[in-house]
Amino acid sequence: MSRLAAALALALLCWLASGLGPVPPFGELLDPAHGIWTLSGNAEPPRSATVTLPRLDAEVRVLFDDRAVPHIFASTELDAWRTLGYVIARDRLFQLELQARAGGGTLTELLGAAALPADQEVRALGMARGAERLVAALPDTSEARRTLDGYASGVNAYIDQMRSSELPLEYRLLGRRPARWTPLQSIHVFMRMGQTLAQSGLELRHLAAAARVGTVAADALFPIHAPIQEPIQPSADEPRTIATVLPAPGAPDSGAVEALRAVPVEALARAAGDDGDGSGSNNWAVAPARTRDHAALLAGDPHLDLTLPSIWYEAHIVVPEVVDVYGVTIPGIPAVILGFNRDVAWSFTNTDADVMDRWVEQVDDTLRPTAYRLDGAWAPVEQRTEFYRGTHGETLATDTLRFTHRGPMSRLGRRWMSTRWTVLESGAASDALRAAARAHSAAAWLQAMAGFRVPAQNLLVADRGGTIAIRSTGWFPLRADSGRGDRLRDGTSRASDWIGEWPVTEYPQAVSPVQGFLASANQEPRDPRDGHRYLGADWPPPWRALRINRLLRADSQVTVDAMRQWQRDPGSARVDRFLPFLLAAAASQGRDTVLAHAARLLAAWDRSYSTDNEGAMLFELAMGAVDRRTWDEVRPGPTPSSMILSGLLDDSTSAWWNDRRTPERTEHRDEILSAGLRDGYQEAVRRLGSPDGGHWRWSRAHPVDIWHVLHLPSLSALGLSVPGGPYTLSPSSMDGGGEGSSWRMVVQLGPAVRGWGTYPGGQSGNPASARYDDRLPLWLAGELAELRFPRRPEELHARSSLRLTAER
Amino acid sequence: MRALRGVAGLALAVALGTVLAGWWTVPVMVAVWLRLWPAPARRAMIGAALGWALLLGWTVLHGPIGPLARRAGGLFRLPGWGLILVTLLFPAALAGLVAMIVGRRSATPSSARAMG
Repeated sequence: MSRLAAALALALLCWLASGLGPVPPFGELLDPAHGIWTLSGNAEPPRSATVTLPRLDAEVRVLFDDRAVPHIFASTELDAWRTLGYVIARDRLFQLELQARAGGGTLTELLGAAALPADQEVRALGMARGAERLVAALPDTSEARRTLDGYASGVNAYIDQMRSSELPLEYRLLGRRPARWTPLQSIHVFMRMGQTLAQSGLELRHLAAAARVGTVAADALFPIHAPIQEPIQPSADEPRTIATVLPAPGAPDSGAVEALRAVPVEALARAAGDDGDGSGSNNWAVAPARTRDHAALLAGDPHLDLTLPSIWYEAHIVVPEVVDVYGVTIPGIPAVILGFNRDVAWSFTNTDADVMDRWVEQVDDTLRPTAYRLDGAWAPVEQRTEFYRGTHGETLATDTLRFTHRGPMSRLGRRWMSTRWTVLESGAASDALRAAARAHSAAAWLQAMAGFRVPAQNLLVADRGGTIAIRSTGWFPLRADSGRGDRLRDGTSRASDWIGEWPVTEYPQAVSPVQGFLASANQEPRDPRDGHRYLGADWPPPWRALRINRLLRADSQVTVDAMRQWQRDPGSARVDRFLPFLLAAAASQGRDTVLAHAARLLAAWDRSYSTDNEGAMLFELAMGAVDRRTWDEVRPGPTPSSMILSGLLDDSTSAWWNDRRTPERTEHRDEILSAGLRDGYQEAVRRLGSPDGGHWRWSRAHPVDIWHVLHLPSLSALGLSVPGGPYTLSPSSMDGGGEGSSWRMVVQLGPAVRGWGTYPGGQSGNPASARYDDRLPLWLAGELAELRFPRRPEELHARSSLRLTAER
Repeated sequence: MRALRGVAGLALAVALGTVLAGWWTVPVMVAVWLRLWPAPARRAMIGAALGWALLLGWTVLHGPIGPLARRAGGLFRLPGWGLILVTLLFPAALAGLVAMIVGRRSATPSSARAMG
């Protein structure tokens, strides 16, 4: 090589090593003194360290136990939240910023233009504006504001003190530095959670169905009450089925057809959502009379996106005489969200209530409206320009967002809609959580949580006195006219606005019911016999609720271990309902060898989603095929839930069974079920190979992926073997199973409170640390770790300690 | 023996330069070293790689690099040991190219022999 060529090669290598376009700055990354290798030096926290924090009231001690959980011993609550901000920043700094940016629509500033669509969606929902308004409305002296400020000061103290070797890997890959934390970021994280839990497509689902089969049929396909009732608020003679006959598909509703023409395909796809097969949550509690040790038991497992690092972070906060609370928090939110104190334990599930409505607005200009019609006059449209910045502060794009008095406007073809969503207008949730953490009884806890407004949750609580209670809590809007929020509303009149909210006394709730247990799994909270207010529509099927209630009814000597095992129970009420019909249908179809073989395989299946079963995949593929054949009238739009399909089983000659693609004949139930089973079998053979040789084993056919938050494969845990499937108590969706039990907890409220728990992942966000995913094996095995709950620092054998002192 | 001392000296210089100012000091250190003590490219490459190996060894003393090597290696579609190898090959490549530029002018056969 000539000298010139060598010089050119050297220049090129240096240029590339400095980072060029998509090539990461590998010179910097590989540098063993400053690059990624230095992360291994921070894999474990120092045995002991002392740091200073601005504005600290007194010294704070933090002891990390053998599971890397920080036990924060502080003199004031504010100090505790400052410290929590500090330790979470130390363990999860990149996740903190990513989640906040996702909720505030500023991901492009961290990730570049590729994140623009996600940011535009978030801002179009009004989340950025809503968060700004909520923060601006907080008085400086309010507890909420001071707590958010304190938490931010803790995060920023860590950022300020962080050595270069501690810079998280993700920042290095992106060539970025962490942004400073503000209270606004906490609200963004909070809103992001609200977005995750929002039930937002009701109007469009109904509209799409009405455009195909008419309003009467659409009403029945997406009803406001679940046809299978096993509600959260217990009622007599349950579970029960509300017998309904689905009206035959009717003529398309011309108004809906016209409205739907303007709806973008993507909006419809989003509205279709999923059937809740992998998402949702469970919680249940058992009164002392039905437990072996005569102490109340409580279990909770929220089903959310499984990611590395996990959405949850475990922490214990002790402020003597004030609060002593253990549980999980979401990085960015200064509160323990699910957990227990010395007297009370609690867990949540999503209520799936309808807290987001849409109004069709009449505007002065269909392209750039400046006013909308309201009670016969023109009201001004508020406009706001959104700037999307790139990683170097450059403007990538701008949007003009418009708002009516109800909320953000969105354009559907030539029409405009406005949306009102409770999450945009309420930010006091963490106040309620902090107050509830100080409660000494279930009653006091519920009283404190009366102020919890968004996102609407089914709050389950148990105390050492033996009380168990549940309440579906949130800001539930009261509407004029029909009271329903599952239809597009007329925006030209204030009469269609929300007129108030439910009083807490009317919320679905129960305290220590005679049956001795309570359970929620996102099902309709209250039987329509027991209350008539509209709370939502198209409820998730109650398959998980049916299963857990069945297990609870059958056991009057419940133990901690039974609770733990139920959290991973592989049985399915949905399978119990559908499988006999599939087998009977196959038997009715005469000599079809493929069908007979498929039926034999299904009949031999134990109906469970254990990792080694070989029938679940066939069942799921068959159900998918049945769904496609049955709901051909409304496809490719949103299809009804499996609960509606379940009701249809009892009407074997319903017009819905008929497949319109075969006009020469009229199909009935058994023909569709058997055709679906045959389709499912053939699809299974095509995708997985022959049923022999273990190819259809659930663990092999349905691996679960837990992705890193940036979707980087080597930082993810992929292809995991996990029991559970659609609608089992530990659910796993059919599209990769990326959602599931994100935190499993069981608490026994005896003379002393004891807790067990785990989540898939680890406390550290540093991939060099063993604590990055050290809890995964335990989670995969379905085991729980006992949670250390010391009253004083001396009671804990700490692996590492941190002393925080006030900055002089 | 002198060659060994030379390589060790370069390794220390590369390590020190990297600690003080970053990876880009590797070609600078190698160039200076070759100007002062002309040597074959191979020796410069070994010295530079050894310098970073010393720093990696120091890192190992402060925490295990196995999990990090595996996970970070995967980012570049490399096995864990592959990333360690690349980490050592990178300064070696820089040194080799510098030696080609600087070495031919200054490392005459006689002086190279003298170094050896």
